[in-house]
Formats: sequence, C-alpha cells, structure tokens
Amino acid sequence: MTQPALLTVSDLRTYFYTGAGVARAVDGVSFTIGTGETLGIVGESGCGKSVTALSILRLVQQPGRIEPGSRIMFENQDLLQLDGAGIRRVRGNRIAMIFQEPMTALNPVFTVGDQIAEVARVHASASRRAAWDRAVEMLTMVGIPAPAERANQYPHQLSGGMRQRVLIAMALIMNPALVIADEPTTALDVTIQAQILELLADLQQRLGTSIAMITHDLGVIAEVASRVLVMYGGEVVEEARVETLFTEPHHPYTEGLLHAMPRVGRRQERLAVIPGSVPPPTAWPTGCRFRDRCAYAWDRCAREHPPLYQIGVGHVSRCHLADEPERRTARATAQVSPAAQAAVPGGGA
Amino acid sequence: MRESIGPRIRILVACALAAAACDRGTTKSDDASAVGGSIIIAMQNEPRSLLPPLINQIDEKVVEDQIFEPLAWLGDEGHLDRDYRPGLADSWSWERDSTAIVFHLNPKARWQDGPPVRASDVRFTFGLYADSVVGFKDRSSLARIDSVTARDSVTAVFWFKNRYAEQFYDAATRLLILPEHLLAREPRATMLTSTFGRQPVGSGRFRLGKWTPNASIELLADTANYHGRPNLDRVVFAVTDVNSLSTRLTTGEIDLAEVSTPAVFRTASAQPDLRARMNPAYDYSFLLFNARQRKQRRQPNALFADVGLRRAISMGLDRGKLVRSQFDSLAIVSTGPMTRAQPLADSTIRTIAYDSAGAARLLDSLGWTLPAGKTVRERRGQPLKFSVLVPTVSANRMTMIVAIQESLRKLGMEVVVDAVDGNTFVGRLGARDFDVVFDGRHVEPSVSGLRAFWSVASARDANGQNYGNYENPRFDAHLDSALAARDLASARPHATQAFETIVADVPAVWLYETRTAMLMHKRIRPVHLVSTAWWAGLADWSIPAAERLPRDRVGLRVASR
Amino acid sequence: MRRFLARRLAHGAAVIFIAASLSFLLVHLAPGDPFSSTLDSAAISPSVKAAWRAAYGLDRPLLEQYLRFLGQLARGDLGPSLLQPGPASAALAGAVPNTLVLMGTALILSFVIGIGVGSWQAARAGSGGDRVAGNASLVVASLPEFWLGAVLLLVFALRFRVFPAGGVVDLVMHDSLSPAGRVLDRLRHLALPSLTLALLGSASIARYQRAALLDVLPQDFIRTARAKGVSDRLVLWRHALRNALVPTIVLLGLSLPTLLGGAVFVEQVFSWPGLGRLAAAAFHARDYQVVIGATIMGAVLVVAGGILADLLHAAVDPRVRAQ
Ligand SMILES: Nc1ncnc2c1ncn2[C@@H]1O[C@H](COP(=O)(O)OP(=O)(O)OP(=O)(O)O)[C@@H](O)[C@H]1O
Ligand code: SF4
Ligand SMILES: [Mg+2]
Repeated sequence: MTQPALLTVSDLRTYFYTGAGVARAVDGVSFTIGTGETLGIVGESGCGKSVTALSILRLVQQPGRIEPGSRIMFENQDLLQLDGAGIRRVRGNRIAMIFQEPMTALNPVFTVGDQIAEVARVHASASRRAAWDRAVEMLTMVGIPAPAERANQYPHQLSGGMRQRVLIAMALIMNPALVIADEPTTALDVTIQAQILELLADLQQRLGTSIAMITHDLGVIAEVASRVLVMYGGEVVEEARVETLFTEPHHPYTEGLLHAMPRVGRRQERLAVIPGSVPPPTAWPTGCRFRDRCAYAWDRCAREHPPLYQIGVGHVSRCHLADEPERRTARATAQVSPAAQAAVPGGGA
Repeated sequence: MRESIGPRIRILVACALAAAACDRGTTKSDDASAVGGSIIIAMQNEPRSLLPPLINQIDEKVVEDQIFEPLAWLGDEGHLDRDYRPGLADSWSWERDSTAIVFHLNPKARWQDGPPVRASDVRFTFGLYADSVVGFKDRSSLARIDSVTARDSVTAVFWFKNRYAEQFYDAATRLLILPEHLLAREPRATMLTSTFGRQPVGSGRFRLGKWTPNASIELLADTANYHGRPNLDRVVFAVTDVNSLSTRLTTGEIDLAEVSTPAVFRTASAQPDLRARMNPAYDYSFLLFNARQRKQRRQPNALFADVGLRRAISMGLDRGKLVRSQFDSLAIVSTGPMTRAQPLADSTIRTIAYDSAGAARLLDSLGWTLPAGKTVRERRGQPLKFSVLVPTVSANRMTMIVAIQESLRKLGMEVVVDAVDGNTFVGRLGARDFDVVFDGRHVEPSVSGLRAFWSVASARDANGQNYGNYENPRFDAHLDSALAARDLASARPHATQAFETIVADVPAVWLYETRTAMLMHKRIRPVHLVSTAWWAGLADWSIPAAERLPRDRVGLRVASR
Repeated sequence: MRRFLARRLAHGAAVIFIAASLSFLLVHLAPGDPFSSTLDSAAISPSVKAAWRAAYGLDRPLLEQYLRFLGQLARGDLGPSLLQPGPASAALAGAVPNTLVLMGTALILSFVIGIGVGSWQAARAGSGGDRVAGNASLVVASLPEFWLGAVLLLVFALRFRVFPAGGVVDLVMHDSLSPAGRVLDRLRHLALPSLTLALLGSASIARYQRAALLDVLPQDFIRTARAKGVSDRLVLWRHALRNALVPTIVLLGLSLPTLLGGAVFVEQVFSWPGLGRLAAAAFHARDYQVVIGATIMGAVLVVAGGILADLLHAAVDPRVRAQ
C-alpha cells in the first residue's frame, strides 16, 4: 500500500435478522482504501459485496444491523459512531455511491437536473439557480450532449447509458473523497460498459477520487483496479494487487473465478462456472465456507475455519493450502473434483 | 234563532276591534320598545309555491297567513259559529234570510305593492279558488257558495245556495284574498309555477323579504301596513331536517318548531330556554277495511264484508297500549272519524273496547277456528290471512303496523305488510286496490269533510274519496242534518248520531289522533294562539327589550337592501 | 395531451348524454307524476290533472317528450321546472355552488388528512401508532355518513357549541356582519358538514396512501436519495410521496361519485341547501326536469373528476405526461 489509508473497515459484521434465522451477510470483513486508489471487490452473487458497500454509508435497512465491534474509519472518524446528521453529511458529499440499476435508481418523477442539483442543495446549501447550473456542468463533464436540455428531461426519456452517466454526475458533483460503484456497468451493453469505465477512470485521474469498484466481472477489475478484494460467503477470502491476483491467485475460489473468466482470443463453447452453489448465509458451514465446492478440500478444511494467511507483500488468502502447500500439487492435475464435475449442467465437452 | 249568528258576531267584532285598538295603541306609541326582534321558525318541507289556493302542507299555510289575509280570522276559542277577529273586512252583516253575508272591507287596506284592496279582488279570489283547473283541494267546501259580488269598491257580498251552520266560516276564513291586478292574466292550469307563487304580494302585515331556495324564507315587517306594523322585525322560516331539529332548538339556532317526534319533544322540552305547548290534534289514523273486492265495486269483500270479523279485529287490538308505547304524549286513542278538537266531535260515544278473549270467542263463533297444531285460524280450509297497504313515507304507520301484526298473530291472524312508496300508495288507494289500508286523514274544525270520505255518494263515485266503500244511508242522513243545522248546538245531536252509526258499523279500526307540540324560546311572547292555527297572531307577538338576543337587535334596515 | 383531453371530453359528453337519457327514462317511468305526489290526487279531478299535464306537455307520448327534451338539451336548456317558476337550471344554479363548496372543501380536507395520516403510518409501519391509526381508519371508513354527521353534530354543535348545526350562513346575522365576519360565518357553517365528508373520505385515502408508500419505500431510487444525504423526512415527503401520490391521485377521480353520494346524506343532516337536498326533494315531488338536471350535474362532476384525476396524474407523473 503506497497511499495513506482513506477508509479503513475493520471486522465489519452486518447481519439480517430474518424469520428464517440470522443471515450473516457480511461476517468480519476488513480492508482499506488509499487516497486516489481504486479497489476492486469481486465475488459471486450473494457473497455480500453490496451489503458491505451499503454498510459503509449505513444504508442497510431493516432487518439488517451492523453488529457492535465493527469499525469504519473514514477521514479520522468512525462512521458507525456518527449521529444522523453526521452520517448525512458524509453521504453523497464525502462518500458517494453509484448503483447497479440505472433504470430504477433514478426517481421517475423529477428531472435529472433536479436530482443532480439536489445533492448540491443539500450539502452546499446552494441556491436553486446555482445548484442547477452546477448540475448542467456535471452533465457536460460526464459527456452528455446538449446538457442544458437533458437536465430538463425525466429519467424515462434517457437511455440506460445516459442514466448511468447521470448517476455518475450525481456522485461526483460534491467532489467526494470516495466513490463506491456497485456494479455500475452490469446492466449496460458491452460498448456502453467500456465507455462508462473509461469515463470513471478518466474522472478519477482528474479529480483524484478513490473508488471502490464492486463487480463480479474480473474483466472490469483488470481494467480499472489496482488492488482486489475477493469475497466469498460474507468474508474476504483473498486480497492482492491486481497483477498478483491474475498471475498468482492463491485461493481455490479465486482460481475458479479466473478460470470462469471469458478471455479475449479464447473461443468459448460454454461459460465455465464454479460448480455447486453458495450455502445460505443463515447457515455457514463450520471450517472453510468454500469447502463443499473446493477440489482440494481435506478434513482440516471441515474442522478449522481458515484465517487470512499472509502469502506475500500485500497478498493474503483464507485457505489452509497456505499452511500445507503440498496438498495443492498433489491434486494439481484435478482442476475440478469428479463429484462436482457431474453437477455441471451439460457436463462434459 | 235565525239571526242569532249575525248580531252576536257583530257584538264580538266590536269588542275585538276595541281590544285590538288598545293593543295596537300600546304597542305602537306608548311602548315603542315592543317593536323589534327576529325569530327563526323551523320548517320541515320547503313550500313549492306561496299561492294560497294551491296549499299543500301546513308549512305553506303558516307563511301564507302572514303575507295574505282572510276576510276574518277565527278567534282564539276556535268556535265556528262565533268568535271571529277582523281581517281584511272590519265588519260584516247578514242579509236575505241568512243566505248572503256582506263584508265591509277596511277602506285603508292596501296591497303591499301600493294599490288599495277592493271588493273586486274578493270576487276575483273566490273565482280563482272555485275554478277547478286551479286545483284548490277543499274546493268542495265552497260548493254551497253561489257567487260573490262587489256591491261597491269596499263591499263584497257572498251569496249562498242554502243556509247552514258553517256559512260564515267558509266565506270568511277559507279564502286568503289575492290581488286581481297581479294574478288576472296568469294562466290557470300552470298556476303552480307562476312567478307570483315565489314572489307573493298580499295585504298581510309581513311581506316576503328573501327566499333562499332549499334553505329559508324570510318575512319582513311591512312597516306601511294599514293595521300598523308588526312588532317583530323579521320572521325567518328555516328548512330544517328533523334529525337536527332538537339540536338546533337547543342551541338557539331555531326559536320555534312544531314537533311531532316523541324523542325530539322529550329532549327539547327539557331545555330551560324553551317553552312547550301541546297543539290540538287534527289528524287521525286508522285501519280501513274495504267492504268490496279489490278494484271491483260490485262484489262484497270475501273477508271484510262481514262486520263480525271487522269487530273482532278491532276488539283484538289494545289501542291504548299501542298508542302510548309509540307516541308517548304526542297522540291519543282515536274514537271515530274525527278528532276531539273538532267542536262537533263527541268523545263520549260508545267505542269498541279491547277484549282479546272476546275477540277470540267472536272469531270462533264466526267459524274462524284454530285447527289443532296450527297457528292461523281457518274457515272451510281458508286461512285467515290478509295484507295491509302501508305507505313507507309514514314512519309512524310503518312502526305501528309491526305491533299490530304481532297482536293479531296472537289472535290467529296472519297479516302481511304491503309497504309501498307514497305515489304507489296514493294510486292504489284511489283505485281501491287493497283489502285493508293503514290510512290517515287531516281534518278541519268543521265536520263537513265527512261527506267526502264516508257518504254513499262518494262510495259510488269512482273518483270519490270513500275508498273503503262504506255505505250507510242512515249515517248520511244524520250527517246531512248536522251540516244543515244553523248552529253548533242544534247540529250536535245529529252529529253524535252520525258518529254512533259509523262507529257501530266498524268500517275501520280507529287507531290514533296525532298531535304536535310547539316548542318556542321563552323570550317570545305569543298572542292569539288559536287552537287551529298557532301562527294566526304572529304579527302581534313580541319580545321584551330586556330579553333580546343579538339577532333581535339587528333591526329591519340591513336585510331590506 | 390535447388530443387526449379531446378524447376524454368526448367520452365525458357521451357519459353525460347516457346519464341524462337514463334519468329521463327512470323518472318518467317511476310511479306518479309531479301532480300526483304533491297534490293529493283524490281531491282533484282527473280532468283537471289532465289539463295540467297538457299544459306542461306531459300528455305527449314519451318518445316525443324525450326528443323534445334532447332538442332542448342540445341548446343547453333543461326546460322549465314543473314545480316552481323559471327554468330548472335556475333551481340547480342555486344549489350547485353550495354542493361544490362542500365537496371541494371535503375533498381537499380528506386528501390532506388522508395523505398525512397514511404517510405518517407508512413512515412507522408496523409500530403501535400505525396499528392504532389503521384500525381507526378502518372503523371510520365503515361508518354511515348520516351517523357520523349526527355524532359530530352532537359533539361540536350541541355539547361544545363551537359550530352551528345547520345551514350555510346565520339566517339573520349574516347580512349585518363585516366582510371578514361573513367569511368566518360561512366557514363556521361549513365546518361540520365538510368535516363529516372529509373524515369518511380521508379514512380510505389514508389506507390507500399507506399502502402506496410502502410499495415505493423499498425501491432503488429511495436508496439513491438516502445515499445522496437527503434527510429521512425529505426522502419521505419529497421522493417517496410524490411517487406514492400517483395511485392516490387516481383515487381522487374515483372518489367523486362516493363523495357526491355522501353529500346527499350530509346535506340532509346539516340542512345544507345543495344538490343532494334539491335532488331528493325534486325526486320526491317528481319535478322531472330538476331531477334530470341534478343527475346531469352529478354525471358532470363524475366526468370532471375523472379528467381532473388524469390531469393531476399527468402533473405528478412525467411518464404519463409524455403520452
Ligand atoms: N434485506 C435483506 N434481508 C435479508 N437478507 C438480505 C437482505 N439484503 C441482503 N441480504 C442477504 O445478504 C447476502 C449478501 O447480499 P448482497 O446483496 O450483499 O450480495 P452481492 O454480493 O451484492 O450479490 P450480487 O452480485 O447479486 O449483487 C445475500 O445472501 C442476501 O441473502
Ligand atoms: S481451506 Fe480447504 S476447502 Fe477452503 S479453500 Fe482452502 S483448500 Fe479449499
Ligand atoms: Mg450486489
């Protein structure tokens, strides 16, 4: 870590108290983001990425609760200790969020200009006029043509890519220290996706903003992030610099992800996936949570919950293989366990 | 005896005039403080028109009697053969063997729009009332007046076809005199919608101020009136729903109301600000049997042609209990086709007493017996079952018929309630399409109306009002003798015999006479509370200066913009 | 938008035409006529009544009367009232403003109260306060108008004497009051009848509004608003409410017929000289033209309510406006 830490999340636990039991959606997550840095957070659906992001701004709703003992240090204060007004001063101002669904993340009954300007009016107590001008400026900055007219339009009059730009404009209007982008491109088609990522990277360069880029797409990570957090079952299972992760992944889950990743130039008949499914967050297995899907799993994995092992500089992994590396070579030939192979739909080439 | 009515009335008139003069003297000059005040009177239904011949309900009469005048007012005692107060006429005399009455109009009398009132107006008014196309409902009561002539501009003469007891009453009080100059050109078939009916002009002591449709009618003192201005500045008639009546009386929004609901009467009469007074009853209700088959006058009714059955039903009903439990003090048991307030009514005649055991025995003897294990009597296999026609608009009748049904069920009769809306009721009544009907009548002090409802002629006239087809020539004869008598005293024995005859024939079960209570604010000092018309002296009512409310002090000017 | 309005107006005109025709038919087919119910039939000979009918054209075949009625209606004329001088429209003109004032006030009050209570409940859904308010509105919504009216009358007119029990103005004092006093006098008389109607309406609006808000609150754009740092109050009243109003606004149009029906009872209880009282009296007296006129006014109100709801819908929802 070259940059000084802007955000330090330590031992974040966010549980949902549902009728079906306590869902430990985020279960002891710690990480930091440096100033100007882009941190990628990847993981399969349901692994707790969004809940982590929402927890930072304390936007988790009933029946979710951030457990005592969690700490989120940002600009020298623990966000979890702020009062209502205090956290509102951070939201949209020092830390902004860009959500996954541009179709539904905008309020259908207000013009986009109004919705962008609202941020400035809330945080800078800007006049209606000034806030509006600022909103149009932001629309220009995110590359929307004819911004003055667009500002007067309603979300339903804009295309998906356009709306995502609006959301970005909304996030950046206060020049926040950190932008959390929760799968900002998932809903967009590939060319638009690339444009948006480019825009984000470009803006980050100009404004020096830190970004937490949440995605389940390693391709996106490869493009924008400098450091990556891999999450599984509500936990961080591996953390590394992006080059390290792609070249020397340690955790079997990361390996699986990389394997499943579509590669340019490699013709793919079918999307390789990690067989099996994530256990429900109300009943994490004892020991390693990836155990049921892991090709290397042995008895220790069932017994002992793996800690984060230090693999290298800035590289940690939650896998007992770090302790007993010989087990990996023993099964190096088998990428996928026979049992799991049978579970792959349409198994066999 | 022949001239007895005339002279006596003249003496009374002289006294009345003197009294009135004194009265007015004190109210006008000596005690100016008697002038002033505004009272608000509740009105249940808004009049459609204030054209007196088209009178349809009592609320209209109350208003019309303020704007218009008759030739003379019935006095406070309500005796038809004496006791009159001057109205438009200040004196009168009898002529020609009592077949003509000469009315001398007050020469100062003026219409509210300026012109003097003339004898020709009286002649015109009679013509209007007597014209069948206009639609005066009591037109039959004018049938024995031959004509009205104007001897000179202030002398009107009523000519009668024959002499009878209520001659003076018919001539002097039935007609409210109307201005010929405003009504002569009005088409008579559409009088109901004439503009005059909404903007009436009379010679009375109040004139129409403002009529707000559906809400209120305001009468203002006619300060230029030839009798002198009324004490009150203003009388407002406010359309008021019966559900809010007791509240509005209690809060003082309404000063005066005629109340016919026991619950309202109980609440309102308990208020310290209000004074209650019972009005005499002029309405009676009864179960009327059809002596003939439905719609078929030729055939006797299969059930009710039998006087025994009619009597048994009457005996089987405890009328005293039925009336008390439903009406409290606002009704009394009826004794016949009359109300006790009518001067000729005789409440001492023998009526059918409640005797349910006797009723049962009578039914048995008529062959209507109760087969073992059954609840309805039968005769030759035919059950004792009939329907009673009831108008849904009458809450009183709708309530009582249920109690009656229950009483008769205990006697082994099955009564079906045939409840219909007002229009259908009137239609079926007129067509005589019923076996039993729960009917009601409004009567006047005079008993002359009996002929229309119970005479043989009326039964045989398809348009007659003798809906139950009651026929007894002896009743007709007694009634005619009573009506032909020249005064009440000589009419009374005949009237009593007529009543005894009809009551013995049981054409109906006489159920109740309803009466209303008047509730008025204590600050009001009423005078001339005539038994038939509490409102007759409204122009002389007053409110003592010390007891006035803000509304009494508004004065006349503001509202007469 | 203009074409949409034109279509709605044409549709409304058709509705009004049908209402007018139906009421014409019904009132003429109802037993009796203007001269049988009010003028005790038996005392007046049939020939006289026939003369009256002829004088008002009621002796003509029904089809002919209907065509003549349509002809008049096309010229915007209802024809004469059969029971009072002047055209039927004059009778209506006296009553309609009173009803409009009553209904308008009740409508505004019911929406303010209903939306306020419903939103308050949604903001604390599931809490004790929400449950109490929910049960209360359920009870109020099921009360009959005249009963609630009578209760308000007893409490506020009789027991505490804060408001008058009937009428539009003080019958004697009104004209002698200052201009401000007259306005106050009118408001005091308006209070109880409009509150009766408003409470009934607001109960169902509150339930509707609560449900609509609970539908909106979990949506993504609400989370966006919170993430922007907007306060909870503004999130509720600005972002959520504006969206939740969309279905409630549609209710506004739908509630006009109910409101009109309620006004008939309320006008009776509070002696309020409006359309409901007029129509009831006119029907009782079989004043054909006035009954038909009142029905047409009712239909106009209902149609206008529908159009109003659409306009409001467009005002709060830009997606509708675009169509
Ligand atoms: N409101 C809620 N009530 C109960 N459980 C919840 C709630 N929100 C999230 N969860 C649980 O938290 C877990 C993590 O959810 P989260 O949305 O963080 O996943 P994610 O990693 O963002 O997945 P995706 O890629 O699908 O967005 C899920 O398994 C879900 O069951
Ligand atoms: S700890 Fe065991 S089960 Fe878990 S990932 Fe490592 S090898 Fe697989
Ligand atoms: Mg997510």
